[in-house]
Amino acid sequence: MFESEVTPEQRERRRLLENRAWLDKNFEMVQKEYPDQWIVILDQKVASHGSDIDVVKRSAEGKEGEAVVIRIPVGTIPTPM
Amino acid sequence: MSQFPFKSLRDWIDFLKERGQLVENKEDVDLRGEVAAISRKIALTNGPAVVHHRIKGYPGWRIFSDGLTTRQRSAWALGISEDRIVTNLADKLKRLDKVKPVIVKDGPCKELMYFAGQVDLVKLPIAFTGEYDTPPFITAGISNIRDPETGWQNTGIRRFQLKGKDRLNNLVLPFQHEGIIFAKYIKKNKPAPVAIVIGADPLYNLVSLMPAPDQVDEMDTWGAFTGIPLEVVRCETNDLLVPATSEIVIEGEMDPKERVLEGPFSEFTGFYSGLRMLPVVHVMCVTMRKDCIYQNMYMAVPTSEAHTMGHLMNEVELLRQIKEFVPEVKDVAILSSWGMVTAVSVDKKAKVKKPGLVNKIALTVKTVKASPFVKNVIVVDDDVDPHNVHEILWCMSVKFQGQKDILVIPDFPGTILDPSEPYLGKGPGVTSYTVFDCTEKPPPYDEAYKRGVAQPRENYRKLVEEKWGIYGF
Repeated sequence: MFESEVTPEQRERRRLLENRAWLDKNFEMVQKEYPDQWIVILDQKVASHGSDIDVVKRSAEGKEGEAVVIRIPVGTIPTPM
Repeated sequence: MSQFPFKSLRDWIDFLKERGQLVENKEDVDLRGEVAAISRKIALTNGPAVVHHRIKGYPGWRIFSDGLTTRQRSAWALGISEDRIVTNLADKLKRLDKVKPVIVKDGPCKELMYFAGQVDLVKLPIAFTGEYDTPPFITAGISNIRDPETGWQNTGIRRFQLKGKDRLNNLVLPFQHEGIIFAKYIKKNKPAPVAIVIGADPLYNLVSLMPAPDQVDEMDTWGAFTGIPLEVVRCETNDLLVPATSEIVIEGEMDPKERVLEGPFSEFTGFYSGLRMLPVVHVMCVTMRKDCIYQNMYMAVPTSEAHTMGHLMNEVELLRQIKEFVPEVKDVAILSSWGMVTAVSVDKKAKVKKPGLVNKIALTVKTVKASPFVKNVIVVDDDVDPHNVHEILWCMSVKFQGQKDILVIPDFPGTILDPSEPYLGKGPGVTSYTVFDCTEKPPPYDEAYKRGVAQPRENYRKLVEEKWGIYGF
């Protein structure tokens, strides 16, 4: 099953993972710049941000499978273990 | 004809098909929300299970879901009657003798093997649940980990966020068995081997949800239920044991120190979880069946397959634990959100002889181990079915007065997953604990109850139950 050719949907998922990896790596900076805001990450950068999710996620239209759409919380992120 | 015990997911699928409880969907489905929306509608309509045969962008794959979305299907998976399922299951668990698994040399789960460098989890058809689960999660992954000191293998259903072609986040929490075991690896500064099973028989899914005591191997419980040993194989890259007929087995290691941002996830509360720094599973090997079926489990705003499964298993354990202290409790029903609204029925005759029994029940329910999410409890007499929401609402309507029949205790242990939790997610979570006494009250409040419940004669009610099919319904 893993030998099959990569499909466009799977390429899109790889891009999603890259966008999420970018967020994980740059979270501290993102949290400083966009606290308590919704952001959309596309092409490994913040494509839009704001407090109204319906407005913010318009920049992800047509790219829902690869965009990271997330609300950035304030405060320390817990580490349970 | 398939029948209990089901030794594989495929046995189970055949059984459901034979009983008209399976839809084989041949239309294309999209992982970005369509698979989840279908499961949502199945849950809302008590619909059948489904096998999706055509997944957009994932040729050759099939997805199975909703095998346990109804109580009836859960009862079949457990080999018991749906009638009084909680009390029947609690009774059965008392009489079980453990049957250890048997290790076999080979199994269908090893028909294909992929090792480091060949693994690509992007090619698994992992479906989005909520809109903002980015990336999506493996939701029906059953995690196995071994205690390095005692050799005990723990099994539990868990969620795993996809983080790379060979990386997954693992929601390991310190109060769960997997967390307690992982803490020992952290102390030794050693990686913890794990094995994640996707697509096992339904009983393996259910026992992995049971809040079992420490050092109890869930695979022994599987054997106890069925009377036969579970056939297991050893993993390729560690010594963990997994069911031989599993569809997919993901083998990996959790680094004792590495933590990566995880979430958000569509939680059972119906809202997203917050972000957490959680361990990472580095995948070293994936084995699977040749034409394997990926299993998905939907969990979001109630209700869902995850709610049905979780509620049943927690009801059984709650009933068992509460009855140790209050034997007059007859049944427990989790009505919403893994216990946040729970109904308890009490022996009506015993209650008359023991004033204060409802308050004793109130305090016991919240203090037993199986109650971490219990928050609002409705107590009814045992002539009411606590699983029937209409009857519960009827009792609230005509047997309850807010000015005297509510007990509220603030600042009880709760869960940070509760969006109404008053301390904004700081610390382990705090809740108000509220008990609604919806039992019939003693004099002077009993005048109307003494006139009797308005309904047809009992013998005719029973007759209609027997003849329902004959009438043509």
